[in-house]
Amino acid sequence: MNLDELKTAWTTAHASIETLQAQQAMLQRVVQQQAAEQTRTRLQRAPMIELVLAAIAMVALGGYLAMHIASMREHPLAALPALILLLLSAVVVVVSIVQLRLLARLDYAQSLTTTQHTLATLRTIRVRSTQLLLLLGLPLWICGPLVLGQWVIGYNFPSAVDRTWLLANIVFGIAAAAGFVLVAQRLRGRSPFWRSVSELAAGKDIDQANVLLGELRQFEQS
Amino acid sequence: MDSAATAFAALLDTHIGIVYRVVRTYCWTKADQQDLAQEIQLQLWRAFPRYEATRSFSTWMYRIALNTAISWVRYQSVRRRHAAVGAVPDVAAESALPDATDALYQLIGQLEPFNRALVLLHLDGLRHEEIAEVLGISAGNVATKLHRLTQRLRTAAQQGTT
Repeated sequence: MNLDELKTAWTTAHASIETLQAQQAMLQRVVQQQAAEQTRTRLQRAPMIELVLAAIAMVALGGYLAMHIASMREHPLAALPALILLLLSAVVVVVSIVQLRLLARLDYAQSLTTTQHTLATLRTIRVRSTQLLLLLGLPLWICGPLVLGQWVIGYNFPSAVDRTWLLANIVFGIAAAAGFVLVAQRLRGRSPFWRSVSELAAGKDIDQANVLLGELRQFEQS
Repeated sequence: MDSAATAFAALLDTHIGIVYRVVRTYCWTKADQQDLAQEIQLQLWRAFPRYEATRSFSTWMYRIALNTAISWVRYQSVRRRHAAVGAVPDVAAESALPDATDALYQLIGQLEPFNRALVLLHLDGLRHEEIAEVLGISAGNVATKLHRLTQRLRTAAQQGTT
């Protein structure tokens, strides 16, 4: 059998079926057109929410640092938790903008290699940013209560607590992050949530994106 | 329906076979085929405002349908992995096609997703230049790949009949 023989068989087999398919498609179309708008926003939702939240956090933390600049000059350590959170928020803002720009560029009417390349890049950025937030967010959790405490009560917690206490909390955060991943690995067979967390930590989706990029490279070469 | 929707409906009806063939090339169960067909038509409708009428509708449609199919298949494999549900293709039980055509689809289904697209476009009668435009590779590359794929399919068909 060669491709020309395949082609003849292919054309003959499909001629009669297409009329039926056209009728079915007509029935589905109205529902599909209504659902199209929902699909459009689904991919954009997560980076959009992250961008808004991180931008709000940046503005709030900037205001907080400006308000307490005098006391922070006396106790530079007091500015550290807010600066760390500000940096994390800035990273989230940048990563969200990169994702939204890629999504805006994503056009399924482009060639297969171009579109699939953009999709694989998007997937990699998405997983990496979630990993970053999970792995940095847990060890640095203590920054949140410290900033919030100072903001609400007005007490300078960072200068009041000693360094050992701070260090112990950061170590606790790292241990909690590691523990969370271990628990996810143990329970991965029990629920989709733990499976997702476990595979996220292991970077399985990144592996898949890399496989796709590899396939694309191979395909583009003759 | 407004004029854009009417024009879209007319073009889609003329070329609906493309959706059907892409769906059959990438999915094995009826439920999956229906889901993918719906997703492709959604993507077509979304992209339609950017479609330039001076260009070939079928080539434009192939690009969207194949991009959607490859993305959908990958998304489904991740979703099924997370849900711990295995995809069990049951072509024989669910197919409404003649046996010979099923055999064709099974043969093509053994290829990698991008090669599957290449063979599908060739079988649908697109010229090498058109295939190159849809896939984003050179026409020379298309010819080379088709030559290699012919040999692969011939070997696979011979193994299937023996």
